[in-house]
Amino acid sequence: MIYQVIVEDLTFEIEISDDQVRIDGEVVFVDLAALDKANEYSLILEGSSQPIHATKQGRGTWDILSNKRSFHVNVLDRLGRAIRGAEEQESQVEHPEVVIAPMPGTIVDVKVEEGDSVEAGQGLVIVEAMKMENEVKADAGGCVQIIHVASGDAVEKGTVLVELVPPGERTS
Amino acid sequence: MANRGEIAVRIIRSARERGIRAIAVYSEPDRLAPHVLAADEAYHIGPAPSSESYLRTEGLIEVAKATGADAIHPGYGFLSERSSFAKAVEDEGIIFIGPSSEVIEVMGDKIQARRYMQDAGIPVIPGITEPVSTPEAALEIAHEIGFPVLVKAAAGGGGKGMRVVEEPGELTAAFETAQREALSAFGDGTLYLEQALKQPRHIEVQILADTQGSVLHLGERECSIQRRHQKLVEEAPATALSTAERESIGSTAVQAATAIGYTGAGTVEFLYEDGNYYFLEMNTRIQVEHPVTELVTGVDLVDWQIRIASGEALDFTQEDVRISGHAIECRITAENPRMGLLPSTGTVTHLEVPTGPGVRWDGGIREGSHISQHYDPLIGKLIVHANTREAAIQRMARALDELVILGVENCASLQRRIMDEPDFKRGHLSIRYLQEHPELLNESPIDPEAIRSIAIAGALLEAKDEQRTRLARTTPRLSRWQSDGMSSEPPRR
Amino acid sequence: MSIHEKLARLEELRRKSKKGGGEERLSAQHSKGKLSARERLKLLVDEGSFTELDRFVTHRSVDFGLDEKKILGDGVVTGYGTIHGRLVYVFSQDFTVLGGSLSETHAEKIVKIQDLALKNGAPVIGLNDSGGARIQEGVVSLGGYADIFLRNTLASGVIPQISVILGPCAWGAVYSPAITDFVYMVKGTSYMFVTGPNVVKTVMHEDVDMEGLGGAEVHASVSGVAHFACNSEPECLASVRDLMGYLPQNNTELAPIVEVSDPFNRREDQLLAIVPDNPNQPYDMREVIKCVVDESELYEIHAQFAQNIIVSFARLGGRTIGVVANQPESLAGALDIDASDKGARFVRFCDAFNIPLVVFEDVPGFLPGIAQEHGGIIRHGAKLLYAFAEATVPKLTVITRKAYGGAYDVMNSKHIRGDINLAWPQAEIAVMGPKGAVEILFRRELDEAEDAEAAEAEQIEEYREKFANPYIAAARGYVDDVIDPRETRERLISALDMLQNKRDKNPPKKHGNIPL
Repeated sequence: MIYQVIVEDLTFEIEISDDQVRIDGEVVFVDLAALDKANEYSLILEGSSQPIHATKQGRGTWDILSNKRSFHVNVLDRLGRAIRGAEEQESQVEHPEVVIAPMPGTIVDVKVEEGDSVEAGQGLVIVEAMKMENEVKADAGGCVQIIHVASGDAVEKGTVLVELVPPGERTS
Repeated sequence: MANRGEIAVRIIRSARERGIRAIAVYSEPDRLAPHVLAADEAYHIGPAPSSESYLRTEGLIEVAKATGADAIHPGYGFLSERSSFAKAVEDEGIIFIGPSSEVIEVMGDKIQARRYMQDAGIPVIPGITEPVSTPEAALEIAHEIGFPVLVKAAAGGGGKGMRVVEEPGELTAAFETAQREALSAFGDGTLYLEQALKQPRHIEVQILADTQGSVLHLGERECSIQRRHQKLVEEAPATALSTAERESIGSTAVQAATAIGYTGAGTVEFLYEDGNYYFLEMNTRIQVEHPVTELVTGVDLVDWQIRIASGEALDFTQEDVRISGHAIECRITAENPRMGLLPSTGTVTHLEVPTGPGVRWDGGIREGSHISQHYDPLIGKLIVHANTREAAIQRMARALDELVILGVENCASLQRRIMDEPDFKRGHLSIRYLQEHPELLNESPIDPEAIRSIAIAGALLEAKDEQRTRLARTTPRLSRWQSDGMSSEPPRR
Repeated sequence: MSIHEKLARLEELRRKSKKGGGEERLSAQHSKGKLSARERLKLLVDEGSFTELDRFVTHRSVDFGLDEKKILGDGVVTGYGTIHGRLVYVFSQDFTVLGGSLSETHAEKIVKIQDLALKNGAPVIGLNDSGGARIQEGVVSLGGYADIFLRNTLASGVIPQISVILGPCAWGAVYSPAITDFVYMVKGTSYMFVTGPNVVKTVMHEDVDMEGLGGAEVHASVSGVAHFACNSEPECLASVRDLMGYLPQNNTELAPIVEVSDPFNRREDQLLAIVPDNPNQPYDMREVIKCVVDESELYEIHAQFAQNIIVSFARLGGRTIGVVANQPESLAGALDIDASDKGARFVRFCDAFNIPLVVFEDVPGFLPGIAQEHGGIIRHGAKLLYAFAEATVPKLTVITRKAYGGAYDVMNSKHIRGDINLAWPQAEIAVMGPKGAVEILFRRELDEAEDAEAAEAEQIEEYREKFANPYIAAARGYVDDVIDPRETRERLISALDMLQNKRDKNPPKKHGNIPL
């Protein structure tokens, strides 16, 4: 099986066959063993050992935690690459920037209105969690298309708060 | 224990050592929390939101009365500095482990406390000794005091309801935010203003006072490493102080505590800059970072809280107090350094706690514990003790390397980087430390080897997963019993 | 000619057969976001596992100049391969060859693999992309279709049959997919209709385009003809592979048993929190199901259609199960015509292929209304009841909240041979909800009462106390146990283990007469 693996913007080609594992053509000695606890594994790569916690997020997508760092890993087999290719064709169409809640909490304040122009880094929504207020900002500048939340709403991590479109593209 | 998490566990341990029954309370999500499992008895007091559980005086008193508890220990945070709670407990004839409700009242209102100290001749930070009700009034006063100013919650503590304002334009927003936060965390949105000193260090003194009039200090702690006014790393003693300064600040703290008739364990916090120190506030409770004092003095503070509350007198004097060696504490919280220490929720799936010489872990979670948005994100405290500050730093670095927490983002990597940082090692600290070293918030550039190993792990996991779906060639067939039973013909012989 | 020359000729013909309709037509496919017939097969089956049959078949037609246009393979690639290591038979129509039209020989190729599949007990997956019958061949092509339809019918319930619509599928051609077990479509490129937009406009004067008449979204959410509407072809083929992981090869085998690390006794505290205390508040039943099944994984079918019922494959203890659940978030979980159809077909598929059924029940009854009544909710609702009653696979039910009236009987109750029926403590198993019951039973008393509202509220409370609970049913053994919701996973897995060897019979008959 040949996989295209993407971690932190780096891409590797990893081939796994019955007797060996190759990364970018190079053979490596590696063993991954599952521990008794769900999602826990031990990885021994060229002798060096590390505990790993891995959760499957979807087809070919894994969240792997190791040494206190977490990584988002995409593992694409043939089909995965084809799906990605199709998705990329799809995304030639410009899509709005979606601003999501970074953690669960309650909306304390919505600082913009639909139709407002915002700059990169501008505060959009204030979310309260663990007794602290956190300001959620716009990544890139744009125009506020839709606001999905209001003061007092409870949100989960990943809840869409605001949708922005590139400036000049607002559709009413 | 009218509290939860690591402090509740800490108190249970001291209670156990005294042969006292420990009664825990828990909100719904805390049903399987360590403090509940460690206690002798545990009672359900409400749903997740603190306002409906740990902050509900009636519920807590109900449990105390129903169980015939002799005393209530409020821990820190929650209702520990709410004089109304202390009073309610006292009124029921239950011992409140802490100072009297009157003392709490005085020191609990930070504005009043400032005034009190000022009157007692203790230097305070330039600022206002009146509550400020509107952003406009705040703006005026801020101009008088001079920017930068600090907007602070009168009922506050622990860094909540506090905002630094560098420029006049930021004041209104900061005011409103601080007010909301204070209202939410303490139920009181009253604010006041102080001048923000340039590069002060946060130095605080541990007080221990009995009911017989004996008031001692147990040395100072330095807690300059803070983010958004929440402490991250604390140590004892504060190496910036000379012996004379140490004695002076210690006796000033004792003076302050005596002036208000303090009993129990408490902390007087100061800001120190260029040889001057100014009273910041007094915390009339046990403090999160109390372990560093315990390790350098050998005095068990929570134990003494219990003893003092039962009327015992301190059996040692100021001369007996010796500071030995150096201790450092790192507060391990569920905050993501990469996202500016944004609180992170999740379930702790894997926890490996460091041990070995000079290492102490005061933890409030176990594997499987869920960190939610309802409470403080403190996972546990890692404390080390060694002969010198250098040795303590090495020990903390080692301990942090041994610590493994998976399942939830945490700040341990940030503290590990601090242990390597030259200014920290030289002791060049101030409360602006993290602002001046913003690179510490970034994860060290990831070792390409590490990325490679993760990529390989990912591929192996995916291959394993795919393999699971492929079975052995023989697919399970229906048993004879079943297939015979399904046909309408008689079973074959 | 020497053997080498003959081999060279074979090579040459092989190469030619792979060209299909030629480069130009292939790029036309690609520009529409469509893959070629062979590209699709390559993605569908395990790498290198495809063996092609009948690559040299050509049509026998001479009319209309067709004898000039003989293309090897005649517009369909057929053969066998493996998915996850298990045998499947596949055909993939080639739109670049005469529009992928079906001729006598094209049909013969498909029929051959259908026959092979039936003889060897393995699934058939058809990738459809065809303009329809090859008009030049006249009735012969219709005969070809019929041969395919016959085998679809004979194989129904014997081997899984899957149709993937990757282009047009119109007129008579639609009946094959319609008979098969699962239909996949791709948004923007697949179409299914019996009569196209042009004729519709002429005869019925209704103006609609292909997408609006029979596109993927329409069939996946309105008509229910399609079970899946995917965003792209590769995604669609990946989804088919996922489905195959849940299914057995044929009706004498069990679905593959997968090794799972998910502990069988995992208690999920969440389950206590999902169902709101207020019985009128909705919740997402999927949350409940996810807490219970292995690795919270669901393979949901007909997700966009009749959303008031959820049908999905999942696993418990590594074994495939068919989940049927009411969805309180949609129409309060009430059953209606579409939901009954959706549920009944799925139940019968699972029964045919020895897949145990697990039902999560929270149903207030059937949806009232003229549309429903005139639409025939009576006979459609009866389908679901018939399907559950007839099924002899292990049948489990968990009542999470409401189970009122006739719907209680329908949703795999004990009376229709539910094997293990469990209820949560907040379950209300009753003829109807407290409010409705009180209004009927105490109408006179309420009319005469001083404070009708208070009296009603009191009676409702009393009724709720007495009847809206699972214990009356439990007292009669209509539910086998009332359980702590956190135990649900453990109890279901234990029940499935116990029922592993279940056998049950229906009276011998040619077949029943399910209301249709």
